[in-house]
Amino acid sequence: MSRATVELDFFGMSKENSSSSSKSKFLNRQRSFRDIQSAISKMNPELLKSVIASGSAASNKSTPDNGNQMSSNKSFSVPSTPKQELPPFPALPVYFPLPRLNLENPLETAPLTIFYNGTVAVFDVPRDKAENILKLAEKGISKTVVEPVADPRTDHQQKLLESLDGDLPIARRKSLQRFLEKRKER
Amino acid sequence: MGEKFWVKEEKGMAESVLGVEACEFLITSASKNLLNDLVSPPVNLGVQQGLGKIVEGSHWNYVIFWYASGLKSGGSVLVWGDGICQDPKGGGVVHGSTSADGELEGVEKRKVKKCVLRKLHACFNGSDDGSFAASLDEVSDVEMFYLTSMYFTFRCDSAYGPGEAFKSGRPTWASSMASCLDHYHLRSVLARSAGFQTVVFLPVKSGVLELGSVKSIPEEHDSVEKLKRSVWGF
Repeated sequence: MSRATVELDFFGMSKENSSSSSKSKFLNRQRSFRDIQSAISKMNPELLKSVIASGSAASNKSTPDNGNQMSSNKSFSVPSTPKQELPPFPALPVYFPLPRLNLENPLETAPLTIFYNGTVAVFDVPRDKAENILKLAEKGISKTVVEPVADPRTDHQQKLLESLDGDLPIARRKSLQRFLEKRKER
Repeated sequence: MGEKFWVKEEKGMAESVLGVEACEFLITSASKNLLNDLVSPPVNLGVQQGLGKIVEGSHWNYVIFWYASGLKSGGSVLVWGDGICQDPKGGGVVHGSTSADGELEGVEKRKVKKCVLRKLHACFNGSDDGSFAASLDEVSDVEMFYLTSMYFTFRCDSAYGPGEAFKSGRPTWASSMASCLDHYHLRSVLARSAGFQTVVFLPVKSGVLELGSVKSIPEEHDSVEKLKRSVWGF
């Protein structure tokens, strides 16, 4: 395959399948899904709750040996059981990133493939979005955290506030904010 | 990811403004992500009003409250808590900032300062965006010192500056440029550019107050007490 991919090797599968890493992933799909499912069953249930769960209710009912779940060789842009409403993109479980290509052009997108509980989701994202997703997975938080703003802000200041993201350097951020406001007042 | 990596030009620019040692310190510090290691991160300190009382109508150009916290990995450290900067020459009010020796700054130097601030911001906050730097077209040397200080940390067992004051429990008051530069240690290049002639490190509850002025302010018998009362009301 010559397509650019960012592979999320959740469970170190590449170590176990080192002998077959040169073969196409699709050939081993049936076996690896079973392995993935058994690995996931050992995961923290709290984590699992917030992952893409579109197929979760249906998947729970299917047997783990049902290797035909994903027998199609197509890649999906949407998970395979769309009956349930897709939740907003949530936090991800543990991953081990294996970047293949450096995407030089920031607008260039590449498929981000996520395997979870027998379903596959493929998202075409640019590199920075992929990095953000990976960062979120590390932090384990939802991206929709909104900073409460007490005072009325101008458009520019609002953008500035949003740009000062990250919840750790709060003290620094506040001081910086005050500094910039004071300057504007002059 | 990419923000924490410094290319040669960025490093060169930073060294010209910060000095080699400060630059090394900050680059290393950014990669360590110290704030993750704090036992008690500085939140809702409530000192802004007190700091304002110290600075307002005084000759102090800045006041910084360094906040002391234990480290999960052991030891304790002083990190940025809060601060106020008061520079009559700053804020881009005077068209074309002047440096300490009164010379009009070149466009080049102003660009460099802005680049360095932008890089530090991206490096420590993990994101690079234009809107932050947009407001920082004309930064005075005092302001440059103040803004850069935000990224510094001091071990409480150090022999200099805020760390030393915290450890000994005794205030430091230096009112000549030469002794100031000594106490500023890694920030001495920035301090010299800013032209500080007085620096004070004052150990207080849960941290250290630092004050600086481009004027020489001699210590009087009750200076320290007055300052403490301003912030903590005792």
